[in-house]
Amino acid sequence: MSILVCRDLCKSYRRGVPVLDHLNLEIPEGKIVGLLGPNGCGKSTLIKLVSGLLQPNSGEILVGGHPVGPESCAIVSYLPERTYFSSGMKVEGLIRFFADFYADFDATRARNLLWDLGIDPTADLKSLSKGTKEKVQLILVMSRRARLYLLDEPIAGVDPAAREYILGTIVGNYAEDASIIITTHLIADVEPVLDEFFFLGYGGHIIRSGSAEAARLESGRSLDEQFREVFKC
Amino acid sequence: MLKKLLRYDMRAMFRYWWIAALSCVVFACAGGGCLSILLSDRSYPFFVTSMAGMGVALPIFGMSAFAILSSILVFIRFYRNFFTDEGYLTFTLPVGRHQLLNSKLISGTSLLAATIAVLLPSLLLMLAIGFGEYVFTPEFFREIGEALSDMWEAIGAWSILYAAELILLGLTTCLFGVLGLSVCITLASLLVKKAKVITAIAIYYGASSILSFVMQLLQLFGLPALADLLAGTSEAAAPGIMALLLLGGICFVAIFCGLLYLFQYRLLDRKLNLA
Amino acid sequence: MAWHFSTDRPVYVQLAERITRSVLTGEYQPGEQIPSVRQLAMEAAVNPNTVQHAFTELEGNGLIVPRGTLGRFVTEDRAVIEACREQAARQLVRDFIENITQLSVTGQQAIAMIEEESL
Repeated sequence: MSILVCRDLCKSYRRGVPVLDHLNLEIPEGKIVGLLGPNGCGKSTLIKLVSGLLQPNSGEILVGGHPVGPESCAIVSYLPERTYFSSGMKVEGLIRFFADFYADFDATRARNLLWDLGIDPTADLKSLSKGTKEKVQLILVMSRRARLYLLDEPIAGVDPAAREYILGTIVGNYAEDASIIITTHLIADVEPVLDEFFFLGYGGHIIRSGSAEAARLESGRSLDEQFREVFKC
Repeated sequence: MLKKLLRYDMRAMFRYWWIAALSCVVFACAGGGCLSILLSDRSYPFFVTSMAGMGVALPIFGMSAFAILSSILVFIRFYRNFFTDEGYLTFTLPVGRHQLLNSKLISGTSLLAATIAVLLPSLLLMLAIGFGEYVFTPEFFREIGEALSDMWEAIGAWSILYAAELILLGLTTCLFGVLGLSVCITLASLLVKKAKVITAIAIYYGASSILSFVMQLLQLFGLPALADLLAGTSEAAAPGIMALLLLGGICFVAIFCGLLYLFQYRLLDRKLNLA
Repeated sequence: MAWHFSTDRPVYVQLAERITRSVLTGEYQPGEQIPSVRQLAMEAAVNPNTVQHAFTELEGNGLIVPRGTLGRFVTEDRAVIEACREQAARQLVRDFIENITQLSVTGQQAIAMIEEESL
């Protein structure tokens, strides 16, 4: 069963070059999948379409059988590139907010993870450093027992130590039979975590895809190296 | 879900409103006090009277600022929650777009209505304190009492209907105001990348100017027609006509609210594109 | 610390080697519990399926014993551990011989050097 099905998906921002051009994609359940491609190839756009932030120009998206809407948002946990905190909220307030709106949110787990990082729950979110804000957001997103996690560039712009923490948290906290979609252009760091991958070119065209391990064994090269070959400038 | 959204929206909008409302009442009292000093028979030193002069102007200022501040509070909530990075959280919540919009509209309308509910009594309070010495004599209260009972004899139950209709008209107008603010900020966010707030304010003032111009035209041509209509009616039918006119006013504003709502919804649903 | 993997062999093979080394060096004692799939995946920043694959390998050669819901444990069978030690050591020796002969050093010279360095 596929947790995500995209059929003939088209999206352009203004009248002009389509960012996604008749994309067909299926993501199976229970896999960690990498959407790998250069900047501007449409990975973030695809994520925003699935999460409900954007509407496609044409085509169909089904998440767990539901079209994009409140039901799909209830089973999808989305981590955007940006931090999205409400002004004036404290860490504990954000936890309560998540608990209020998401039935699958595990507040205890979130609090434990934050405690491990030494983050004060009464702290103002605005007062935290950038890196800490990103970690808080990640913890909240991963503390949901969702069926699909959408992580948009989770380690971009983050120092190496934090990258390890982030990848470890992702792998250590997602719900067993859920799927994770990670978009990134930092392939080398993310590669060991992936079950499957897609190389996306401009227009969202799928250039290569399959099992990460099989691709490595077949070609004797890492995905990072294969990526550099495929997307050579 | 709507209840939950309401809780957060109300809390966010009303957070700083209470202080402003309290300040408004304090301003009114201070203004009233100064006004009574100015009007008093007793002679005060020049310094005191000139202070009192300022003391009357500032509260007027303060109360107007309170009214404007309320609009700003509504505006900010819309802007922050929908059109900044917070939107990434708002628009991926498991709630329908209608509920998101309705929650803001209800909160905003409540806030504007609450502002009016504080402003008008504050003004009356200021006048009451100011003119206190002269006006609130026992004679004054007796005359007021007589006028009220005369009015009750004349139109009786109608006055209850009028009161209800006026409240409804007030609420609908507040809703219209909130929708206006939200459409302005939505349009600004869709049309420009930077300086969204300034663009929104510009659109708001532009639209308000056009609106007041149209209203003036309507009054210019509408009022004489209205006067003719009222002159022609019998005394018995007059209260009924009045009620109908008020109802007409409510429907008129409500229709525009509906149109704005549909426009706003369509913009949010189809055109939203967070950076 | 996220672990680093080279690209010449599958990740699960490298993971299995890593765990085997931990057992042979005594980091994991015989009969001691091994971290769970999830814990190891988190520590190494590696896909849980890969960890699972590594565990299956190790269970296959008997180095790790699964005990149902209790988890996975290092075998208490010393013979198995010693067999692994021998195998790992022999591989190192073979690699050494291959490398040293590429430098045109004879076996005798190599043994002499080893004796000197060990003193």
